[in-house]
Amino acid sequence: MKHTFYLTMTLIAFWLLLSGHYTPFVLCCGFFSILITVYIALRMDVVDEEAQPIHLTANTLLYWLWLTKEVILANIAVCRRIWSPHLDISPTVICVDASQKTPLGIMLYANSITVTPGTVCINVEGNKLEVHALTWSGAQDLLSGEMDRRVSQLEV
Amino acid sequence: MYAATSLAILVVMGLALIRAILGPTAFDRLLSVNMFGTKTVLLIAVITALCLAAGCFLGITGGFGIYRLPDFFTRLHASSVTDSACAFLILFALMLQSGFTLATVKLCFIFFFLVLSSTTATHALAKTARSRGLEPLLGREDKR
Repeated sequence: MKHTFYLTMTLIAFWLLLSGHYTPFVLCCGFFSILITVYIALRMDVVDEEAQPIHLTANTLLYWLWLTKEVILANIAVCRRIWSPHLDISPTVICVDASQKTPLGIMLYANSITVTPGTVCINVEGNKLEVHALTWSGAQDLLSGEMDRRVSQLEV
Repeated sequence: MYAATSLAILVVMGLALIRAILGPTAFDRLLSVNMFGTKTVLLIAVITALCLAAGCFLGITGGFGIYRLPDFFTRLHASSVTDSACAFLILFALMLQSGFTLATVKLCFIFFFLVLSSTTATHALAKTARSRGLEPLLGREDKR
């Protein structure tokens, strides 16, 4: 029940922000489309905690800021490699242990790896992640485990 | 060039602010506040141009990378440059232009979904390629 309520509220906010037209007829259309969407979601049995991760905390915000910084640094590094005359790359495949306990935590860690240029998560098995890195040094940075530690802190 | 321009504008804004604080009469203050407002508009325009230029450069880098890099798995990294920083810079420049409107909210949504879906697509592509037996090219240790 709680999750259904959250889903409805999220959809209403989303619809209002996207629409920008607030005449009675359009509002009615929006209302019915939200109703149908919620009904379908309930029928599909996908309304649970995972569908709407709303445990946004100050910690999450801090993590995003840190991730943004990492993404910017990684972008600069990858750009330098691409433009370097000798194409100074050393593709590496490594296996990383994820210390997160929930599937959501592992998903967050794997996505953080992929969103950072220079490292892509290829496969997830249990808590072992297979990662392809553009450079050896990029792989080393990942193995130092700072990102893993920060994602694990979010889980509590 | 753009950086110098924005620096100059910032200096002018600072001077105007000082005059607004000191300014013996109310007219002095009004004059400097007006100047400050004008310079803010100019600064936003310059930052927009700066972001667009940087975004274009990153986009070109991604395209060049996808052409130049040796195998599929390394090319993934080039495309992720285009997906993250290039998309952000260009959308951010557009947000500066649209200001506090609904269009900005929509641009935020576009960025959010772009990052989410491109990450997922990259992972799905890499995973499928690997399970289909595409072996990544492995290189030598790089010189730092």
